[in-house]
Formats: sequence, C-alpha cells, structure tokens
Amino acid sequence: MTDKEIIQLFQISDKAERAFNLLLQKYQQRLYFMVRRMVVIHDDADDIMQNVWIKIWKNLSNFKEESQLYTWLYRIAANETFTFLAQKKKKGTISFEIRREEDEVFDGADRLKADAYFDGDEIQHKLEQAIQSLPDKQKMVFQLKYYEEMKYEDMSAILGTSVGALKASYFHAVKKIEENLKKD
Amino acid sequence: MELDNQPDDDLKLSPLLENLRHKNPFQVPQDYFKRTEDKIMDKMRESKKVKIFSLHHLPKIGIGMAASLLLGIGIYTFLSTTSPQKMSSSDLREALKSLPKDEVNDYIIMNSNSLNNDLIAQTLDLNRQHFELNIKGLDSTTIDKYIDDIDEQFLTEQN
Repeated sequence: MTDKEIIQLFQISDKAERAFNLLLQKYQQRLYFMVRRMVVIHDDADDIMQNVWIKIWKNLSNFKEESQLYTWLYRIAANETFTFLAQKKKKGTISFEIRREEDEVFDGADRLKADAYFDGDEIQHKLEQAIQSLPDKQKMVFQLKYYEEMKYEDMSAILGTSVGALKASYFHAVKKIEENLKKD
Repeated sequence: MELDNQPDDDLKLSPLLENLRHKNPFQVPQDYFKRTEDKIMDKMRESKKVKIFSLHHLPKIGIGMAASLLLGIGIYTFLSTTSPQKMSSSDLREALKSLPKDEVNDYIIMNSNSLNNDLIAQTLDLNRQHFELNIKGLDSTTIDKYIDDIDEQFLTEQN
C-alpha cells in the first residue's frame, strides 16, 4: 500500500487504527535503525521510537498531503533524536560518548563491545567509532546518505538545511571517517 | 517505499567506506519489532481512551483547551500579519521565543509545507544562515570548527 493510500485510509474514522498499523509496519524498522545508528544503544533507541510513534499518531490527522509522508516521519524521528542527544549531553550521561581530544580514551568502543546487540568485527567497531565522533547533525547527514542512500532534496526537507550545505557536510564527514579508519 | 535508491556518486567517494556500507552490526532482541508494534498499538489505543475521557470532563480542562486555542490563534494571527519585509529576522526570533517551544515544534511539524512554516523554520534554525556561506576553499580545521559550532548551536536550539 502506498503512503497516499494509507493516509486516505486513516481519514476514514473506523479505519484510522488499521492505517496507523500499516504505517507502523512499513516504517518501523527503517526509522528505528536511523535512530539506533545515532544513539547506538538499543534501549535508548527503543525509548525514542515509542515517543516518535505516539507523536505520529497524535499529529497524523493534521498531516498536509502536499508534503511527502516519509520525510515528515523522518523529521519527527530526527527531532526526537536530536532532543534526546541534547538532553543527555546536558545531563552528562550520554550513552555513547567519544571525546575528541587526542589523549582521551574512546569509551564508546567499550560500550559497543559491551552492548549485547552490537555484532560487528574490528573494522565495524572502528567505523562506528569514527561515525560517532562526528557532530550530531553531520552524523545524521552521513547516516542518511551512507546507509539509506537518501536524496539530498529529501534530507533537506527533513533537516531544514540547504542541499549544498548537506553535500558539503557529507563530503567532509567521509573524509574525516576515512582518516580515522586509516589511523593505527 | 517512496525512497529513491538510485546509485549515488557521493557514495563512491570512498572505496574503503563503500565496502563496509551494506553490513549492519546493530542487532535487536528476538521478535523486538513485533513486540514493539503491539506495545505502540496498545499505547495508541490508550491515548484514544484518554481523549474520549477528556471530552466528558470538559469543564475541568476548559482553561487548558482555551489556552491551546488562543495559542493556535496567536500563531496563526502572528503569521498572517507578519512577513519578512515587515519584521526583521531578529525581531521575529525574539517574538517566537515567547511561545512555548513544544507548541511551536508541533506547529512546524503539522504545517511542514506551508510558506509560513518555512518562515518559522528559517527563523528558528540558525543553521540555515550559516550553511548558506560558501565553505569551499576553507582548510579542514576551519571547516571542522565551523561544523562543530553549527551543531552545538543546533542542539541548543532544539533543547
């Protein structure tokens, strides 16, 4: 079923629940992994996604059909993720933190190794360390392009940033990650 | 899915990264997505019950509803009577600060394609102004600092 059909179904009062369930089934995994790659820890991603879906449910009736549903969904998930990361940073209890000063230890690597739900080899650990060392918004840009192959135009609708700036941000993220991977 | 999965030249920027791209090391507990689907549907049904309950207690929440309505009218009136030509972006930003952030965020989400929403997004999102600068030709350290600053600013505004 297309997004448009799901929205049309949602507008029929006794079919709204069914439509929401279809939407959930269609986008649940994609949104979860987008959030998970940002926050790393499964429990954090789980908490965020539950809030995201409740917000989607509460606001779906006001969704304007002239925009793309999937960018709207991503926008909600991205905002919720950024808010979570900002709050965690303020509290100083971020689940996965990599300090950028040269002499500091990458405690994020230890967290990854301790996470029962991270199953990566050495190079994947290094890749995740490198990704997590990016500033949050650049990390989001990188993830959306690298893993999801999202068009910059769609990313622009989600993040409210110009296409040119997104391209520059992605390009620079790739260079930084490459440099990190080549170390040692 | 409406995503465009056409091959993208930017993904070929790094052969090293390209080789790692299709592996997903992030796992989830067994049956996680099915269980979560059930949990979210339960929460959704709960929120529906709350809504029905609220209607029966209208007098008790009348003030809150009136406040929300006034806020909605306030935003609408504010946007209807304000244009970039009439108000500077700093004035607009100051004015928007007086509104509760959650309400503004919800408004933006719900009106993501309207012209007025673009105005709000432009005003709230300082990144846009910064990103319009041409960063080509800057050295790597400067760009790093630039992106870090933007990111910090973005997160501050999100909070």
